[in-house]
Amino acid sequence: METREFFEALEKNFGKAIHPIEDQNGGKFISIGVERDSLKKVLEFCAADSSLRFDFLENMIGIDAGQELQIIYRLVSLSLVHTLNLKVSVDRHSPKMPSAHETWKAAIYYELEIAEMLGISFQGHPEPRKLLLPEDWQGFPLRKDYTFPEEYHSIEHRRAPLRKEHTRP
Amino acid sequence: MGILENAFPEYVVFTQLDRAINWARQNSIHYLTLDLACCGVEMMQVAGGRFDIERFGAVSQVSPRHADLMIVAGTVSHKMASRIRELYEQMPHPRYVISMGSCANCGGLFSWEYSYSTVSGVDKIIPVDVFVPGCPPRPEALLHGLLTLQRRIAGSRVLVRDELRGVDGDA
Repeated sequence: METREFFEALEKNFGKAIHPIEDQNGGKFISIGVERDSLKKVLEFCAADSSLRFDFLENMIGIDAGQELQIIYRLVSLSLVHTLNLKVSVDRHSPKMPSAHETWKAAIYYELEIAEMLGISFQGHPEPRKLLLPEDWQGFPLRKDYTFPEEYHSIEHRRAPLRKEHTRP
Repeated sequence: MGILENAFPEYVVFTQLDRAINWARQNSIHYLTLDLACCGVEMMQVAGGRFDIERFGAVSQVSPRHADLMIVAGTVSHKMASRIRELYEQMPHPRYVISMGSCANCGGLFSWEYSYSTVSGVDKIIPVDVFVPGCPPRPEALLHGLLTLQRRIAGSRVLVRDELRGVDGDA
């Protein structure tokens, strides 16, 4: 199935909650935008519907798009062999999202990474913690306005430049 | 030798105690492996048959409590820094550190301008004796680093008066 067919199938059930997203470069129709409030129902529908049957969450991608944050759900159906991208916009200042772990268990680790890198809090996540960064890390490194720390646990982040007599001519 | 001449059988050797202790120390270095990135693979090569670090008396050691030397091979992140410090503090005196590769030396590819999470040089956490440059260094370079450390140990003073001792307990 093509993305246009998925769109028609979803539009029939959810109406205004979804909208098409044209690719900026090639003009191809590759992702479907979803409103945040009805996201959980859309995801459950994608997993359960017999003509869609998305049984595998291949990836979750978090993006800082400047004005807003975005999350792309990349869904794969291993049984029917088709894929779909769902795109959701999140408010930058109060970034809250429903967790998708009840539909696909794979979302647990993707959401941990997005939460610590972009600062999006996933409501209902079973084990909210830091995955890669230290527990007491401040700030969200993959946001565009992130500034590097000056020091961490009294380890200075910068290194003094080499003095001139130590550099080669 | 004056009065000592012919006073002992021929298998008795005279030397300075410093040199005897240093000779023992430099030729039985047990090193703690800390493979943090691709440099670790080069360090594994050194222990293999082709480069064979054991001919210089160095043997790998899994416990820091039995180690004399720590080879920091790879990128040190801020999360790893406290662990490295803890491992270093478990090592008995005298203890030495070789920093292997650009990342451990100064942050290298992930230096402070480009990465938020990398410590720019392991010498910001623990004192380093020998820096081995390279990205990653060849196994020969690490062997040269070990030989440099051995020369350094050979030149150190062991028996010194307490008031001349350094902060770390070493002369």
